[in-house]
Formats: sequence, structure tokens, C-alpha cells
Amino acid sequence: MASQPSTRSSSSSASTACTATSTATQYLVHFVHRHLDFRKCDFDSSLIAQNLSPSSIYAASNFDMLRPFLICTFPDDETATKVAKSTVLIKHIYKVNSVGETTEDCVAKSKPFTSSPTESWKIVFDTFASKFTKSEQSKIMHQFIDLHKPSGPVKMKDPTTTMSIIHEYPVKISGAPMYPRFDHSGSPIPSNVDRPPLSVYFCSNFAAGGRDLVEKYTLKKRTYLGPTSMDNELSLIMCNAALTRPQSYVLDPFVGTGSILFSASVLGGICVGTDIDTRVLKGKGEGGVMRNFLDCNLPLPEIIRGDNSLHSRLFRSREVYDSIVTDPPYGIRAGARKSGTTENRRKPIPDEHRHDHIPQTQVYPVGDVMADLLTVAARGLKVGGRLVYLIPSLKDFEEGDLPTHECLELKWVCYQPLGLLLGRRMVVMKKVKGWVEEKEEEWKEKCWPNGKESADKVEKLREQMAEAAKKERAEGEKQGWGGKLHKTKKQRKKEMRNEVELKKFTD
Amino acid sequence: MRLLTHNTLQSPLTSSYPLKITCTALRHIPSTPLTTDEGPYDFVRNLLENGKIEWDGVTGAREDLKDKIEELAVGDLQLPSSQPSPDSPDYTSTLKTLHILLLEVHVLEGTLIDKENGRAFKIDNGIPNMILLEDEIER
Repeated sequence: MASQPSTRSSSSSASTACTATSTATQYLVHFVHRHLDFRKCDFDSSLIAQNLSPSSIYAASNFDMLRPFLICTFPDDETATKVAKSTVLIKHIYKVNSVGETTEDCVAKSKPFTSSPTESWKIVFDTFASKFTKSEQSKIMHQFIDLHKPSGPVKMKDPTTTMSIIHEYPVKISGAPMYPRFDHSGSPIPSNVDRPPLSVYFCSNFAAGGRDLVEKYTLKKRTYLGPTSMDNELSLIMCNAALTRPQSYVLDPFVGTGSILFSASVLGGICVGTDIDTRVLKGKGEGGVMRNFLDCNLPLPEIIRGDNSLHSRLFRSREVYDSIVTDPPYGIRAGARKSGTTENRRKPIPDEHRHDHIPQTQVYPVGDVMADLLTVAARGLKVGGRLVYLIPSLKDFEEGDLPTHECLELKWVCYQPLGLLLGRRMVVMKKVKGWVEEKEEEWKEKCWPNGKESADKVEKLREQMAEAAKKERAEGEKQGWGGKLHKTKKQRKKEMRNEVELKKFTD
Repeated sequence: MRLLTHNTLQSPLTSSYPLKITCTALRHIPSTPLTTDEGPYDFVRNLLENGKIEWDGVTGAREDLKDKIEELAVGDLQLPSSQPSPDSPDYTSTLKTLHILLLEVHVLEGTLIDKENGRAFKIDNGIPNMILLEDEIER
């Protein structure tokens, strides 16, 4: 990858503690332990959206995909708060008092945490990927209290200062603790119980992340949904990766039920969506794509029923959008269609029926969908604007198989596993070169750098996914759960009949 | 459909621009403009100063919707006949008018008409239907 390293390769420094050398105020960013491969992209995008350069905030070598903690230096408290609020993958940003490799080290390095005798305080205990008993927790807390002897009152509810003691232990790539201190029955595991943590942080609670957006706008609360509605968390991550901020001009050329534009609107974007399918736009009596926006008092998006393959004939504007965010139709949940029909199926339309004639559509091959999407992005985005799209893919996948465009630079590819072999990737591209109308066709032809083959690969994605699902099922059957999970309707009916028969017999 | 969108659309048949608007239902939905260090009405100002707003498109749409706009009672929303420069005296008030016209006025029901061949594209529930019939695609 050109300028940003692929996010999946940075899990090497698991054994060293994160310590930054600068003397400026240090902040501890606590990420949610989800979407691991998206966290760096998401955090960097939030920084760039605040006009900060990621390299001035944290050392790239300190970032580890498997560690949810990162020491940063923000220019001021206000910026840190803004960054925390802008992303759904940050749980909290703390102000660091001390960092140590062991509890004792952290205690020794700590500084007084209250500044006046009237300041109320409390200490909370937090552990990542391990557990401490109540008495162990209390012992560690008292090491800090005995050293600094804060004179202010202890207050459990809304104190002026809340300090957190965080012990971080390593996790496996699956997310499970590498060295759990206790087993399931609660008895200590001797080999792990005295193992030192990766890091111990003593820090004051400072700013909560934007997690509340996920709960506030969850799909469960929406009136209008469809089979292609995307989960709220991922669409917020996508919009953040597209640098959507208040008054960004955002386009989704395959808007469907509008779930991506909904998130863009939550972030303050001015949204435009197009789709060929009038059924998703209008809905069945629920008020269609506008419904959820009205329910949540968000500004209405601009919806146009139009055909992505004819985008350049319909849209006059060039280089106006700040972001293009979309989940293109790959034919897995919903097949793609475009206007027109094959020569032999075309019939003349009588004049009296022209006004209510339903235009015929034809299959829109996935390879063309992608090539058209990149062309629309190259033409529609401002220089510096971003295209973010999803592509379902298998685990063994090469970046070289992604479509490219002269005007767009690949920035990130983040993988979300959806099963053992299946998953989807979020692709982020940045527009780096101005649009030249005359070169449209020339650029489009160069869309697939590995030739027709990779276009075919994308084209065959659906069959590949079906095959992978089959494999996964077989794998599951071997392990003893797949058979039960994937019973066919026929099998279930048969079993039910057998049960009834059996019951009759025994009665 | 906001007039901002009208400003970006052309006839997919003949590329005729601007599309004529006929309208039976118009609505005004206020929205809060963003002020940045560079000045007020950030969104429209940026588009305008980067040459991304077609002045003929806005003035044409204003003319098409003249009677309906009067009914909205949001002022007469007059615009200069050609695009003003940022140092013209009424610039801020022009930006305000542009903000209302492009972002706050919604065409709910009506049609967009290709002035060259009269083909009408229906606007239903605020959604213009720009899909072409199968015999209109080749040109």
C-alpha cells in the first residue's frame, strides 16, 4: 500500500509497554475491543477530520492491533474531547498520571491526583483480559491512596476527580485472554496468577467516546428497514473513514433503505442518495427511505431515483462531494440492475402508456458496478475527498484484485470477519488527482490492474461465497454444531413429523 | 428535492440545463447554516466560490417557483441576475438567500421538464424519478 501501511500487519510489539517519551500531557485512548482491524483507520480518520496529523498525536510503532490502549499527546483538552466524541470505536480518553510495567512501578511513578483539600474523588479499578479479586483490587487501590493521602472527601457519585487503575493483559487474535488469572470455576491458574501485565495505567477519567450514538440510533429503533439495511456501528465507522463532518456533502449511489446516509446525517452531513429500485425508496406504507430521518429529526436526505450506470448523463456537477459512502449491490442480498434491455426483448411502448410504463431493467454485472462506482467517485469527489465502500470477500484475498482508478489512491483496507472463511472489507480511497472528462473511458479501461481476471473474481463472488459457506458448514458439521444450525426446512418438517408420530405411538 | 439537487441535475436525454420545474407542493424546512472562520453560510459559500453552483440554474428555478415561494412567506428571495463577487456589498445577504433557496426549500410534488423535447420527470414525495425508459437509453 502506498502511504498507509495495511492495518493487519501491526501486531508485533505485544510485549513492550506503551510508553511515549514526550513530557507534554499524555492521554490514554481506550478503544472498544471490537472491529479490531478498523480501529487504526477509524482513529486516524477522526484525527484528520480535526485537522491533526496522526504522527503528531502518537507514534505509529506504539499502535498494536490487539491492544485497546494507546498513549497519545493531544494539543489541548478540547481537541481530545472532540476526537473522543467523533468516533464510535473509542470508549474513553483518560489523562495519564502514571504508566508502569508492574503495579509497583506504576505506584512509584504516580503523582498526587487531587490538588486541593476540598476536591472530592474516587478510584475505580479496571482490568483488560484478566481479573482481580475484590481484596486484590482494594490492596492495589490502597497503595496509591497511602502514597498520596488525598485530603478531600471520597464521593462515589459524581466526584470532581475519578481515577482509574487499569491493568492490561494480552489477548489472543480471537479476542480471548492469553493468560487468564482464574479459570471458569474461579480458582486461580498458578502459571498465570503472578504473570506481570503488559502495562498498568493510573489515569483520570476525562472524556467519553461517541459510543452512545450506536445505542441511540440502533436499527432496532427504526421504523423502516430492509434486508440490506446496514448495522449502525459499521455505517458510522464508514462515514467517519470518509471524514464526514458537519456540512460535508455526501453521496451514496446505491442508497437502498438509506442506512448509510442516516449515519452520515447523524454526523452532520448533507446527503444525496440515488437508487434504481423504487420499491426500497418508497417502502410499503412505512413512508420509505425518508421515514427514519423524520422519526429522528434529522435533516432529510436528497433522494433521486436514478441509474448509477448513467450517472454522468444525469449529474452535471463535477468534483462537489466531500465523501462517497456506499455498500454496492453484489447480488448476495440484492442483485444489481441497470436500465435498458437486450435487443430482442425490446418492444415499442405505446404513447398512451408512456407515462406509467415500468421501464425494463437488465442485470448489472458486478465488475461494471465497481468500475462505474470508481468512475462516479473520481468524477464526483472534490480533490482530497474520500470514497468508502464495502466488498464481501473471502479471507484469502489480494489487494491487487481491488479495482483502481488513476484519480483515486487506496488508503485503507479493513477486514471484518463474518465467519471462519467469509468476511467483508471496507475499502477507503482518497481522490488525489483532478478529473479530466476526456479521459473517462481510458481510465475506466485501466480499472482492473490484474486484468479481466480480478473482475471475474469479483463477478464470481456470489458463487465463491456460497462455496465458502458450504465449506464452513462442513467444517461445522465436523465440529458437531453445523448440522444442527443448518437444517433445511424439509429436514425440520420431517423431524417434526417423526416426533408427532412417536408421540401418537407412545400415547 | 431541494433546489441544490436541481442545480446538479440535467436531462439525461439531451443534457438540457436547467430543467424547468413545475410544482404543486412546496415546503420550507429551516436548517442551521454553519459559520466557520472563513465566514457565514459555509456550505453554499464554498460551493459558490469554487464555481460549483450554476447561477442560471438557481435563478431559473426561482423564476419557475415564483408564485409558490411567495406562499411560503420566507421573503421574496431575490437574487442578482449574475453571480456576485465575494466583495460585493450585499454578499452576506445573497448567501443567506442562496442558503434558503438551495437548502431549505423542498419540492414535494411536481415535475422536472426537459426544455428541449418536453420530456417530464415526475417528482413524487420529494423524490424525482429520473429513470429512462428502455427506448430512451441509446442516444
